[in-house]
Formats: sequence, structure tokens, C-alpha cells
Amino acid sequence: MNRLKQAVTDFGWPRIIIFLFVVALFIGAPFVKVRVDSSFTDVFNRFGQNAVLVLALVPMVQAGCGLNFGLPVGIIAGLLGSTLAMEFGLVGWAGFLGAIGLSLPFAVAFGFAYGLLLNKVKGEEMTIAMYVGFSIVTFFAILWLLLPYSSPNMVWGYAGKGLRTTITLEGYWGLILNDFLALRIGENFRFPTGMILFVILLTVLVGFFFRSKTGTAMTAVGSNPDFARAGGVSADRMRLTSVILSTVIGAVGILVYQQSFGFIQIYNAPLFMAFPAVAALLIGGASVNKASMLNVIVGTFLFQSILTMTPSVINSILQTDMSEVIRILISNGMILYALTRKTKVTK
Amino acid sequence: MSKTFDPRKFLADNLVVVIFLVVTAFAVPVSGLSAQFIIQELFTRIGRNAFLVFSLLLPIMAGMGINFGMVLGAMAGEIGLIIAVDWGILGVNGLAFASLVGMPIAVFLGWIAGEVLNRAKGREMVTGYILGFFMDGVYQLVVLYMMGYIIPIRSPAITLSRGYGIRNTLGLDSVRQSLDNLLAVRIGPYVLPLATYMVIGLLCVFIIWFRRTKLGQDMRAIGQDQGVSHSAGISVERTRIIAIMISTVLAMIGQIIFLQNMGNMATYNAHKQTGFFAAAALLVGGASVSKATIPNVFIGVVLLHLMYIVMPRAGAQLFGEAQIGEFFRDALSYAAIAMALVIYAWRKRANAERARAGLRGGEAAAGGVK
Amino acid sequence: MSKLDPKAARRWAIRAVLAAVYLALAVILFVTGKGHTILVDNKADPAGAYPALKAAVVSIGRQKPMEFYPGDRDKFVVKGQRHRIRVKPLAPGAQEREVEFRLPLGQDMTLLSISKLMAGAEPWIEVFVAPTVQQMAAERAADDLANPLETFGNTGP
Repeated sequence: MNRLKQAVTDFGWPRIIIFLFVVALFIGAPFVKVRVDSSFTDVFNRFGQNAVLVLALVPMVQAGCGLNFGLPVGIIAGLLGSTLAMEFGLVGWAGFLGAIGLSLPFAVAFGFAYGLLLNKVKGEEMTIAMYVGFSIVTFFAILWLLLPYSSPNMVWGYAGKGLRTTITLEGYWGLILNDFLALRIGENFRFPTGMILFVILLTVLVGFFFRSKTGTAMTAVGSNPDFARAGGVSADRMRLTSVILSTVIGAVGILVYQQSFGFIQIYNAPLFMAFPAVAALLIGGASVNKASMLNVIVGTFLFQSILTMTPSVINSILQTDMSEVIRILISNGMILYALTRKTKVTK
Repeated sequence: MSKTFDPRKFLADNLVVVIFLVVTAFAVPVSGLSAQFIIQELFTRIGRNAFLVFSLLLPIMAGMGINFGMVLGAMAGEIGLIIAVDWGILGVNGLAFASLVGMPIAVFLGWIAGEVLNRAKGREMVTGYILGFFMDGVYQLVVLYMMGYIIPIRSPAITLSRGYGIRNTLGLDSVRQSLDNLLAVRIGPYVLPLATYMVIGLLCVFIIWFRRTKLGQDMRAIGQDQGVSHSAGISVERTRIIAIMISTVLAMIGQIIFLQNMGNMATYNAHKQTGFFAAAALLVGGASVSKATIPNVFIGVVLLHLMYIVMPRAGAQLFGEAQIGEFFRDALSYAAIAMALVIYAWRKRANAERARAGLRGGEAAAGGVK
Repeated sequence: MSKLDPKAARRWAIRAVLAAVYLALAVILFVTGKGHTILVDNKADPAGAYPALKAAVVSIGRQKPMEFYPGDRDKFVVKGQRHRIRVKPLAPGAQEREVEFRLPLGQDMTLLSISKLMAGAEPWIEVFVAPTVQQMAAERAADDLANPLETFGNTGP
């Protein structure tokens, strides 16, 4: 009994409430004539769409850099990759893989600079990361207008220059992962096999990384810096590696997101993209200084289920569109809970 | 302290200000706006924004960093205004009434914010920021779903057609610029909202007085060192909560002053940028995350808003696109906040390391000192 | 309950007084700041009991005077309840009339007929409900009747 109590405290009551909420949503759905199969299609789509962005947060949490509110740094690298791939006229798999390839050098370079900065501001990473993210997004908004992109599918028709706010991926690599080996069961259920496989692949890769020598050293730096230092691990180096890794996965994450969403969104769109990802990770059971692959999968699934199901289920029960309010309260409430929780070992 | 002028130290201390000055000095002539227009705009904007920026001072004094949770106060002010408009109270009476309605809400929200931030020591800023997001959800719940349903709203003109919830834009005709026009003085070609300035002046006096009170001294002591303050018998947690409460109440009044000047209110968005603008203004004015003074507020409001006035035009002149100027000023403001935070964190670490190096011989407090 | 020590009692007394002052202040602000729209019109009685004024200058309090011709309707926005209206017909030899009146606190709009006032007909001041407000109230009442058991508002747009 005590052990159960302990487990509940460790897990945290907000998560239990959210979990029960999701279960209630799925149970309640048929009673208010919401189709469960099409809901599940949406949930799986959105799960795959967002999981990699959530995964991107893990390395920095593990290395003790806190929640990466500066995820937009990686997202910008991904945007550069996809817009360049489009500019070069790459389509299909060449387009998607080309976008990843083109975004990698940017992601590494940005991550390197971002990591150096975060190493100089230990203890204040999260606030600074947030504002670094805001700065880079707004700074790149200028570049989207000025860079010499010329593909007519991307630039404003009347001016002939400056990227559009949303660029369609139709005819390039829109839905390429979603449609790969996609399973259709019945009328309304469709499983985006390719995307889910890709997510699992990346998760497994990152999981293996954390079992490698570098990975364990990174975790050691995050959980016990003094011990790590005694073991001859350079904390700064490990933190830097984690930030670069986080940024690179973030770049890949936005590319997966885009192909499923069907559009590239630029300018101010990435400004607040870190927050739902952070909320999802925390809902999955992660804390400010500890996160696992399981947290990523569970958290993304739960959070995306809420986002998918509340508009339809809650709205038909309450007869009013409260999904936005529920989303705001759940995601920020979760982050708030994690930030105010007494952490066991820090510093 | 040596008195010799060290240009490198000066630059490091005022990097953000210097960058802003240089950029704005370039942008002002490029924009082609007349000096008279710019100066009038600045007079207006000082009245509109200074009060909000002042609300950040006390938490900084108490060592809690920039209170991004000040948006809670802004929301309280907006609720006050909604009620004042709904009850049809005109002019300055309406503003005062809105403040009276907003006051208990702001005190309550400030208390919550203080409690939350006390549980997040060491990361007050990011927690305050997220708290602002969270409370935005609560605000929507109250204003969009409860007003006109649980909270009675008399006027159908301000509710949505479905019968409950406040419209997206609330016209503030009944109180529009009533404080500004209460004592508008014309000096040469300029109109100065003297009554608003007097309210701001009163606040300055309050802050100067407050610093000398026992409570103000306690706050400064906590800002210096929580451990020492605690052993000196100061109730750290309580004092921190009071700092946040006062900040929230000031933000509430600040938002009312801001909105009366604007003349209408974007019910669900008006507070979203409040924290950002106030923080940017204060930091651009040369304040740091650990030290902010009254002159910082005024310098900051003038500098930040000078840039906000001229940048779109400068962008249009240089690149043929005003949007570039708009993005540029946003980028620069975000970067200013980031830079100020970085400099602060950098210093804190340098000081900590110096302290540790100094103690290393004695080996007394390697782990004990935080 | 234990005996309240005088210090605590005094503190509570001060708090109560402060709360009372706070409330009183809110009430004063409300009463003195409440805005009212006064629609002034100059229309003849359809039954012919009194005529419209040919031409008159009307001012309420210290607001700018307005000219009224037969059939005119215009509005004054005033603050507070007690006001003084001055009607000065522009006919040679006509008597100017100045009357003090009170507006009901809860009403946003009142209709004041200067033709009635000058003719001495009562009531020259009436509560006015704008047609849109009337309509909205009726619609909502009908809506409430149609969906009596609804728990959380009606379906939004």
C-alpha cells in the first residue's frame, strides 16, 4: 500500500488526472456520437507529427540543461533545410531526405553556438533559451523576406520575392512518411505506418545513444556533476553535445511535422512551438532533469489525444467550444507543476 | 571602487543600451519622420507605458528577476475595465472604479503568483512566464464563458451575440483618454498628458519612500542574500510574496492607464505582449535582472518606443517593406532581453567562481554556499 | 472562542473600516460617474395636445447648447443623476425655462421631450429602451424558453 502511495506521489497527481481525463474522453466519445476510429486516425497522425519534436527535448534534460524552450533554434535549421530543398527542386524521397541533409549542417552550427552560450549561463538556461528562441525566430523572419529564394511555389506571387507565410508541400514531399506503407482498416481508420516507423527508429536510436559511453556520461553530468567530474567527464563538453543533439533532432522533428501537416509555416509560426512539446514530455512523466524514451511516447500520445478529442467530445457535451481553454490550462498547468516541484538532486 | 573610467567595463555594463542607441541613431534619420511627430509620440507613450514598466521594479529589488507574471495584474485591470464599461461609468470615475474592482483580483492573483514562485526558487522568471500563460487560460474561462452567464453583464453591446462572453474588441469610449485629457497641457506644438504624468510621479515617490521602509529594506536584503536575510530574522517567503503582490497591483493600474490611452481593448490579446514590452523597456533602459532604478524606466521607455516608432518607416525606406522594420524591432527587443539575461547569468557565475576561488584555501564552504 | 486580545481586535476594526471605506469609495464613484444618455426630442403630440417648439436652444448642465427644430431628436451624454436643463425658445418674447431633474440610477437611456416640458404636460421625462436591446432581450427570452434544460449556454457560432 505504501509503495502504491509512493508511486502515485512520484508520478504526480496532475498526470493521473490527465490520464483519467484521456480515458474518460475515449470512453465518452461514442456516447456523444464521435467516431472513435476517425479519432484514432487523428491521434496517430498527430502523435507521429509531434513525437520527434518532443524527443528533441530529451538530451538537454538528461544533461542537466533543463527544458529546451529554445527548441525553435532547431526548428529554424529544419525550416532552412526544407526551404532550400524546395528551392533546389527536390521532390519525393529525395526532397524529404535532402531537406534533412541540408538542415543538418545548420542544426549542428546553430546547436554549437547555442550550446556555447548555454554553457556560460548555467542555472539560467531555461529563461535564456526561451528568449534565444524568440530572437532567432524573429531574426529569421527578416531573412525569409530578404534571402534570394526564387522558386515560384514559395515566394509571393506579386512581388516575386520574399517567402509566403505558409508554403504547401504538395508535389514535393507532403505526406511522404504518412503514406508509406499506410494501413487502411475500414472506412475511417488509417494508420500512418511510415511516420510511426520513422518515429520508432529515431526513438530507438536515441535510446541506444543513451546506453553508449557518451550517453551515460551525459546522463551522469546531468544527474551528478561532481561525480561526473571526478570520473574525468567534461561537463561543458557533454552539455554542448546534448544541445547540438537536441537541435539536430529538433530540425528533423519539424521536417516530420511539416510533411504530415502538408505545409511549411515560417515567420512567427515557430515562436511558441516549444511549449506544447515541453508540455507533452512532462505529461509523459518526465521532470525538469530526467526524461526517458517512454516519457516521450506516452506523453505525446496522451497530449495529442487530449488535443484531438477535447474539441469533439467536450464541445458536444458542453455545447460550446472550450477546447482552446482546456488546452491552455492542461499544457501550461503541467509545465508549471514540473517547474514548481522540489527537485531531488540539482546544481 | 576605483574612479578611473574603464571603457571596457562601461561597455559591458551598458551593452544593451549602446546597441539600441546606435541602431536607433541610424534609423531615426532614415525613417524621414519629423522630429515634432516623434517627440509628440514619445510624450504620449511615456504616459501610456511607464507605469507598467515600474511594476517590475520591486521583484527585481527582491532578487526575483523580471516578474513576467505581471501579466496577471494586466488581466485584473482588464476585468476591472470590463465591469466599469458595462456599468457605464464615465471618465476618470470609470478608471478609478476599474482599479477598485481590479484591486482585490490583483491582490489575490499576486498572492497566488508569489506562492508559486516561492516553490520555484532559482527559476522564477521562466515560472512566472508560464504562469502568465496558464492564467491566460483562466482569464479566457472567466471572460469568455462566465461573463454574462455566471458573472452578470448588463450591456448586450459588449457581449457576444450568443449571449455570454465578452466581445473580442471592447470599445472603451466611456473612459477613452479620460486621464490623459484631465489635465492636458499644450506646450508649443506638443500636448502633454499632465495628469497621467502626475500619477506616474506619485508612483515614483511611492517607490522611493518604499525603499526606505522596513519592508523595502528587507526586500533589498533578500535580493542580496536569502540565507543571510533568513538568519537575520526576515521572513523571506512572506516578503517575496508581498513584492509580487505589489507588482501585480501596479501592473493592474498600469494596464488600465495603458488601455485608457489606447481607447479600445483587444479583450483576449491585450495582455499577451505586456510582459514582453515592459521587460524589454526596462532592460533597454540599462537595468539588469538584479538591479533596476527609476531612471532606467524612463530611459528604457523612450529608447524602446523611439525604435518602435521609427523602425517600420526605416524598414520601408531601406528595403521597400515596412514589415522588415517590424520584424527587426521585434528581433532586437527579444535579443535585448536575451542579452541582458545572458550578461546577468554570466556575472552571477563569475562572482560565484571568484567567491569559490577566494574560499578555496579555507575549504570551508565549497558546497554550502549557494 | 478565546478572548480577543485588544491588539488583534484593533487590527480587525481597522480592517473593517478600510473595507467599508473601500466599498463606499466604489459606490461614490459609481453614483457620480454613472453615465446616462439623454435623448432630447422636440415632437408634437400625435393627438395634438401640445405642439413642437418652432426653434429652441437647449443646454444641459454646462454642455454645449444645441438647437432644436420641430421633429428633431439629439442626445446628451451626462455623468451623475442630478441635472439642470435650460430651454430657450427662439421666438421673440418667449419665456426661457430652466428645470432641475433627477435621472434614475439604473437607467442608461432616458427620453426627454422639450415640447411636453414647455407645454407643461407630464411625464416629460421617460425611460427609453433602444429597439435593438428590446429585440435582443426578446430573442434571448424566446431562446431560453426553447432550450429550458440547457446547462452551459447555447451553441456558439
